[in-house]
Amino acid sequence: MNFPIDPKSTVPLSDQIAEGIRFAVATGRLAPGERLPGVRVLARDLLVNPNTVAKVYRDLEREGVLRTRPGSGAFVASRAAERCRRASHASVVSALRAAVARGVAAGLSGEEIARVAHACLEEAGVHGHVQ
Amino acid sequence: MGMSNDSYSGGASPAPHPIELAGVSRHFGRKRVLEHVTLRVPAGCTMALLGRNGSGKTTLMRILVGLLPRHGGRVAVAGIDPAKRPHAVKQRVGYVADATELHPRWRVAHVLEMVRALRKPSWDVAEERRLLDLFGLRPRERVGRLSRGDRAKLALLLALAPRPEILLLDEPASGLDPVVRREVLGSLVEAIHDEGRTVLLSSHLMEDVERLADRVAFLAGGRIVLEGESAIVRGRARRVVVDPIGPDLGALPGQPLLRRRGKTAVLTYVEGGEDAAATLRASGRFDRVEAERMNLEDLFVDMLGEETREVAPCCA
Repeated sequence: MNFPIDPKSTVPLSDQIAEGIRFAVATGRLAPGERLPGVRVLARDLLVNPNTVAKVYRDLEREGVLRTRPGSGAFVASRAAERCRRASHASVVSALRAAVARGVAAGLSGEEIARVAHACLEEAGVHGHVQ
Repeated sequence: MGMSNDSYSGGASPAPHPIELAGVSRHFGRKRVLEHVTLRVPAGCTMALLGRNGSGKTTLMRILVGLLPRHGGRVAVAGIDPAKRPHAVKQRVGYVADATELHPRWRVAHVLEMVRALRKPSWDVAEERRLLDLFGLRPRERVGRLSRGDRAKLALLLALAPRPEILLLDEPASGLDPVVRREVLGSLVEAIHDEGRTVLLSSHLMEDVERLADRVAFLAGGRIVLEGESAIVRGRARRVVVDPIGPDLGALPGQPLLRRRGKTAVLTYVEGGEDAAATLRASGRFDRVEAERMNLEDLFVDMLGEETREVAPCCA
């Protein structure tokens, strides 16, 4: 498993890794019941402290995204996909909110922001959205 | 921390803090490099020691391995005082220093043979082979012909093969190009995971520190000015940007570090930044008050840089 992480971001690495796993589950790249790489393997792949990965696995287990079985590692929980989709939606919505707030702070008008949003949707191949 | 009995919690260690300094001082002539430094590294933890050049990081490490006497204070490494029993400490600690000197004409195999003889009986031959293979080092190669990255890996191998419970890494990845650094970083990830090893690491490469450190300690003016779990330290820290400011800034909540950029003031709060920002916003004194999250590099620059030495006036 591999996803981009940015150690220079102000978002802590543990949050980035948790988000990466949630996103993989939400999009079906990690299916329910599928086994995650061991702590050591993922730490080595991402080049982070294994304690950080262990913490992420513990947190995601508490969230109900993962199940751990003693001696055999961590697995995607059966109803995790729906939960992760919701979490991913929430984080995307807050990212969009933050982007809009930055736009407003930078002095862009509502029309300009909406125009950019529409252009982005067009680029992504999404048509027929509400005006 | 609620560690369970899983594979990643690390083994049982007799000392809760395998590395301990209490009130340790050291001067060189008139220059006071360390002044009453108190620091404890919990078992199984990787702590990054952060400070500017000449802040005393190497001095502290050398005191820990008994290479340098201290002037006052108490030190225990694996429960042992390195000033009294340096040899016993060396048996328990792997130490990788910036300037590891090896004769250029020696072959890797020769170096291994020598250090193996020195480090008997703790040297683990199987571990030596595993690391040789993992790091991709060739025993026939002459040390003088090794790349910088391979030399760093060899130094790490020499420190790790005796399977020390404590690892002291003084700038382990400095002067390496990004590709080699990633390889060495992978080796370090392996090294810190092994058997709940306790690691103290000094580095200027904040990206590496972000990746490797559970805890961070900032060393400045001979003292530890900030210490804590890295996720918590960086999670609490805020830069509060306010403008416009006049020549007289007036009272500010808390005790932020202050930097002026024309009409803008940047206030660095180690903690309590969000509350301070709310107070400043409510005061109506500024058009703009924004609290920004920080990473360790931002914190390093603000805490240890020259620019922000000014401590803002405190409101009672």
